[in-house]
Amino acid sequence: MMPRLNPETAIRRLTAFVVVGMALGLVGIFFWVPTDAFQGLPQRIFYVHVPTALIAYLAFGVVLIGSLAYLKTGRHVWDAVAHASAEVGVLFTGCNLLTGMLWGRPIWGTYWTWDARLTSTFVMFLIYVGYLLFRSMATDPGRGARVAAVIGIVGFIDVPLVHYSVDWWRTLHPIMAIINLKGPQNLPASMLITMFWMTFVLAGLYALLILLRMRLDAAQEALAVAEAAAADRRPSIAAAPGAALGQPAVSPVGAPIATPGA
Amino acid sequence: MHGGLAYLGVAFLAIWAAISGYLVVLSRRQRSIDRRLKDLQVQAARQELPSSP
Repeated sequence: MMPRLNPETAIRRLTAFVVVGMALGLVGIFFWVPTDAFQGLPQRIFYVHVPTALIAYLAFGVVLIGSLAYLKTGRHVWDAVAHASAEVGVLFTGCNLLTGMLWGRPIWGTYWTWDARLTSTFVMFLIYVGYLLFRSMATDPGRGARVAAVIGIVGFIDVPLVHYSVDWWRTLHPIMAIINLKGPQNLPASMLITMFWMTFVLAGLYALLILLRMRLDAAQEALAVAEAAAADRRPSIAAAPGAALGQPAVSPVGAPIATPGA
Repeated sequence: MHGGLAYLGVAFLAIWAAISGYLVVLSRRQRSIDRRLKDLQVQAARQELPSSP
């Protein structure tokens, strides 16, 4: 049987992996891969642009799985996974859109064009921003989690739409032909290795961010329980020996509590 | 060529800034919750102390 990995140990190991992996990746991007003959230096944005898109797909896939599992089992952990993954997915989609714009300006001559790939990616970004906004505004956490799960499931419809948009519609965005299964590769080995290495490192970063976000979620829950327990104890504070001696009762945050007749 | 370098630099800086910013926000929220939890635990311990035999 495999021993269970402590979350804190996993966080430390993933942090070390991401830092070292990112440093190696940057060396590859700036010193190993050849400069593209047509696009020049901006083509190197490719090594973060494509991996951020792939990790965003992964993140929203995890939102889908977490949401389905939450609706089926009702277990909070699945909702926490979906919530964390949506937040990190929005971060990666934002990075993908931003790098795409900065790559598009010198190559296409414009930061933005409403073609199928860009528009569907922007819609995907908005769907999951909406998911997070809905969660933050829901007054009933249980109902909020259930409705968010439905949004997480329905929202995933846009992910294959984003991926296949370049095949289904005529777009300015190039068709993603990174690996050629039928013959010689379109890209030199150094470009392929660097791109896949960056994807692997960003997958590690994704896992690290999910663990940190879920640790925060667990702490928020523990705080809510502790605050409820403190609120239950408050009525007895007035009768506590300190109060009888005329010392002011103090709330958990250190503010004095008004006692009857005080 | 130099224009291309500027776009490349901004793209990489923007990504690391976004990720670092998110990490800073997470860590500040975590620290604030941990501090509040610790305060509550100290408070609970103080309240329980006089009633123990």
